[in-house]
Amino acid sequence: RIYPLMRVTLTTSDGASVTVSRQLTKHSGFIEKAITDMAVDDNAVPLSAVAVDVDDATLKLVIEWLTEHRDDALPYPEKTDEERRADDIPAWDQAFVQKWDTKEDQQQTLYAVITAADKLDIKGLLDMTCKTLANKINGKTVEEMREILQLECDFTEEELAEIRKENAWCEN
Amino acid sequence: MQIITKNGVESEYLDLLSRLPNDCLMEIFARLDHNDHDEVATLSRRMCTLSDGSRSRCAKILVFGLEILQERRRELHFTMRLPRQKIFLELKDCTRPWDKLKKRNEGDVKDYKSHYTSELQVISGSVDGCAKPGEIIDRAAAILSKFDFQSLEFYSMCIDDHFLTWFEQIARTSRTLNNFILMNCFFDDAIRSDGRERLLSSLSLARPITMCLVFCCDASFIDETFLRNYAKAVLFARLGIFNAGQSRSLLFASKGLGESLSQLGMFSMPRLVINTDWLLSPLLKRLRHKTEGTWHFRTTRNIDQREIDTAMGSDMKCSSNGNRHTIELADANFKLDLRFIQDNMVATMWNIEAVFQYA
Repeated sequence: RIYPLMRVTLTTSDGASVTVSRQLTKHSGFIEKAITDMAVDDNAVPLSAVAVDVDDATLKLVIEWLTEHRDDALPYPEKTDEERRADDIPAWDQAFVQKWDTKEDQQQTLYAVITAADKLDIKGLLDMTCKTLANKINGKTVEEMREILQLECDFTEEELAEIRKENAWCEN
Repeated sequence: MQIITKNGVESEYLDLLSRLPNDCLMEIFARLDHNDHDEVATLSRRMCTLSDGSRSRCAKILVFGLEILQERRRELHFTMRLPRQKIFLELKDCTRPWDKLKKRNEGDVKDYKSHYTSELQVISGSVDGCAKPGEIIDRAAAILSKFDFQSLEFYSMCIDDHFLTWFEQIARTSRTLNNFILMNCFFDDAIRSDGRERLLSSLSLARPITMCLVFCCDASFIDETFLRNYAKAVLFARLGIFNAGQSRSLLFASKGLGESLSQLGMFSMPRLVINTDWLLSPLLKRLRHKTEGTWHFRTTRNIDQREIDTAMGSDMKCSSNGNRHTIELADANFKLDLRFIQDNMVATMWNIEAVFQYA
């Protein structure tokens, strides 16, 4: 049972504190479990602080997303393999992510939000951010992917040739 | 550690992707298609391992069509239809993990579609140096599993356990299959009734809009239940079912089947016999859909204009000329041309040709 007016204090990895409504935190499997583990009186206002391994700036973005999605149905629907698509991001979420695209550290922000969504077990946010990153690399060459992902190659040329040969479906 | 990107921009946020936990990466990779995975696999060792792990969940590459011809029950010739091009392929050896389909020159490819009109030559056994057809099918299934085919056409194929296993996999996973053709195909001697059931189950699952099944063996395993379920599942489907010895294995429809078939756009099944007494209702129902198409099957007798006049609605008008009848939807510029032809093979039967078209 969730009391929407109940508030939860979250302490971030960089020492900040944010108090939010339980209506938002109910979407986070991690926070809900932490509250359950505390075995506090559900009427306690606010609840004891829950420490989250997320920095303040990222948590603010997470809370912004949770505020928009506070009325989303729970539990978040499990996706079958056929439903794992990346072209169905809602308009508000697209605009939310595009706000970071104007920043120099947009990639870092996206990765930070993905990591936060994973740590806090917020399935909807994780789903949306994974789609966003998938869309960024979809249809790109390996060189373009390497640039987007800033990823170093640890294969030898021979190993790369072997992988390409294995993955090819036909020979000339 | 710092790297310099192609644009010469130094970044202190290195290997951001690598910092993500494996389950996040798997979620991201599950949304890529196989072409992307081929690229991701060459990014780094970890990405390669994770890409392998999530390939089974990733989107398939959409391909217009695949055609396979089996020659003399052994060699298999593959044709992939891509936008603006056809690729001719063969797979003769599949003993090594890296054996792939090999491209063939267009000039070396026979006009294989002519095969389905010729007599099937059956030669048992495999050719020296070539893998057995079953092994080739298994390998081809694995290699081609990254594709989602809109059209599948099989010519002179021997339907064996390997083929059925492959087609079951396609039927379970395909999201785009809308055209399926089995031309001049037959069942392997080892395949018993359960194999035929497996084929029908897969076809019911795949539900292609166009389906043409031409068997050079008995096709009496295709029964009313299959027809009913297919017609119900696929609106205005195009269905053709033919087999050798059609007069010997007639399928006499029960009373309700005609109504079920009224949803079919095109329908041709010479071994199906629908009693003329039950014919008019589904024909008129089909006419009211105002969708072009033709029907061919057998009936028990000709029909006369009086019967049509009694059955048709007030918004229809009919004209008859011997074995030909035309029923017109008065306000819709749409009509049904019916023609009854005495059957040459079964004296008591008639063939019916029903053409639904704009007047």
